[in-house]
Amino acid sequence: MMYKTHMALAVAATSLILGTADPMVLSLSAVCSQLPDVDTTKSFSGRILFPLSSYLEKRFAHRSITHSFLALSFFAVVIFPVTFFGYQYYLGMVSGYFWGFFGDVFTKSGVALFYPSKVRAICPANPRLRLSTGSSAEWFVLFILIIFAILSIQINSAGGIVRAFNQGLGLPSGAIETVNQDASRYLLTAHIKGRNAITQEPIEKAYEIVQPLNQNDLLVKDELGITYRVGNSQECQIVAVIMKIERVAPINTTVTNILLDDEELSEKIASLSQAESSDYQEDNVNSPQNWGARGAKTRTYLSGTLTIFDADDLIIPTHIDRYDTITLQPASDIAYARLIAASPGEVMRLLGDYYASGNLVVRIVEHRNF
Amino acid sequence: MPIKRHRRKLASGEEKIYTYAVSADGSTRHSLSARDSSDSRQIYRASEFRRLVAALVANSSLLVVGEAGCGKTFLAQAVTAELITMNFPVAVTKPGTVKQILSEIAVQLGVDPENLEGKALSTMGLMKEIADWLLINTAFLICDNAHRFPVSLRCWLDQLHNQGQPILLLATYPPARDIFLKLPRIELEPMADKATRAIMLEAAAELNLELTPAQLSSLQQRVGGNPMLAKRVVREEYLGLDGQALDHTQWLDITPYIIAALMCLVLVRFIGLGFNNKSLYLLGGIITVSVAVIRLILYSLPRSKGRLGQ
Repeated sequence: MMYKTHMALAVAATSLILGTADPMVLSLSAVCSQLPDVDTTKSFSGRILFPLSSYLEKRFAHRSITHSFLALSFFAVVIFPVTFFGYQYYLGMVSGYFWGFFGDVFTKSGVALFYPSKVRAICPANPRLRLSTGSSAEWFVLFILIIFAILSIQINSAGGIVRAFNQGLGLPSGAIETVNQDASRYLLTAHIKGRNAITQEPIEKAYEIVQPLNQNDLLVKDELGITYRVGNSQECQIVAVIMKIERVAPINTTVTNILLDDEELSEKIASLSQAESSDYQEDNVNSPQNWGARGAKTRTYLSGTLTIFDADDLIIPTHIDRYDTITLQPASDIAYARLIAASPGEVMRLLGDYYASGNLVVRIVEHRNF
Repeated sequence: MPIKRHRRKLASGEEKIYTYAVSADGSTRHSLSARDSSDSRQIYRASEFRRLVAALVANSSLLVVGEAGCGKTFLAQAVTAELITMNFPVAVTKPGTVKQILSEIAVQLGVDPENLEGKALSTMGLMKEIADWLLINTAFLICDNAHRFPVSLRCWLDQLHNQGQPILLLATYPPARDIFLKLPRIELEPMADKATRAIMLEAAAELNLELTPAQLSSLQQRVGGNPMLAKRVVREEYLGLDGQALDHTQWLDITPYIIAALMCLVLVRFIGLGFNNKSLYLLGGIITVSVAVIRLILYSLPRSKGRLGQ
């Protein structure tokens, strides 16, 4: 095989197996794929490492000792200190070396994979169907391998093969899995194709993702800040058929706790509410496309259960066409309010004047500029 | 340009072999190499050689098997020479009909192939005569290419073996029956790289061909530890042939292992199923079908034929 074919095979296979697009890992594997051919002075690596190649070619047949699992294990042990710089580099190098000699299995004279045994491993058995170095068939294989390598790098730099598959199919369950993986690091939007569960109107629109609700459903909000439950379950406002997730911007998430012990909610929430409202004024055109382009913006979500005192006159309207982030369960004199990713503004408006006890988890999402 | 060899004894008692290239009319010649005579019959299978001689001398028979060209005939010649130097009578078979083989053995052992009336003995008569002779005399039978022997000859050898005659049989993968099954067996392994390289160098020197280590290393790929092929690849190189012939038997088709490795990816499907992950399940399904298609294609490729050039 030509050195180019070895390189292409090593890069494609390493990127596919390790699921990486790291240029350093891939170039290390490309370099290491040349090392097995050090057993002949005619090769690229043989000319560089001349004393070694000259020593080897005087004693061993080509594609024997350096093209074996024995040499691979030796190589893996020798370069073990590379793990100090990163395990990925090490794996990339070992994988590069392996594919550097394994590719020769498809050539006419095969490879002595199990050296010191003389047995030469081949695939397929018919020598007429195997490659000869520099033949037009090898150029064709090289071409295919390059396409594979590019595809693999492309897919891996976009988050891996499973993610690419999910994106390609737009399967809601796959999208939720993608959200589970990315939600803590990126602000995400979901391009949803489906229908409104109540009006049966078709929907094709982008929503900002607030958080996953369970294995099947997502909590999203539109540009007006109205929240919806999207997915396939019965409680959903939007039934999704196709859902594709897009990363908008990297985010920093901070989580704090607010403990209330018969305290007025407005006192505790006011600061959060102000911070958010100022942000909202800043980007009044809240279309998802603009979210990433703006400066540092904050989203604050409150979740938890509160016991509200003197709640005789407290009424919180429920909506069928949207997801209520605050729900109330009245009892005598007191009421229990359940908050799921509620905005501070909403909490202030509905519960601000009441005294409450309980525990609130505050999730503050700040997205950084690119 | 023909090659000639001479064995010369020097005044110092050392024996050397000189190789010359001689012009067609014999007027000019130039030396190609001069080396110790001991080198010329360098036995690379020294341990097998010693074992064979020792076994025969200890009155036991042996069967040597190995692929064509692995050096059985060379070993037989070396053992014969060694036994002759030890002053044992040795009979070596040559390819031919049963009658020819038996007559040849009779002549070599000094058994009279004719009856009292001066008529040539029949095959049966020769067999009996030789067997009787061997019963009272010590001699060795060395039978090369024994896999070609017809049943009658094998039965006779079997009989000789039963009467305690030491026989050395050499055969290319003989059938597992009668005499071949009875005799203790030595299988000739592929030769070490060092030995095949030395044979290649020798062959190159004979042809006055200079090969770089890189060329030798590349040619050696097609040798697979077979000394006959070691000589042949050098001759092919000498004739400028491309040399795509891959005739040694040291091959391992790893197609099933590659498919097995790919099949492991089918696990993704079950992981998807187990974790209730629809995407993994679908992806696994696609992988399963791809592996099945690859398998189908690999197994439907035309098989290599047992005949040369097919």
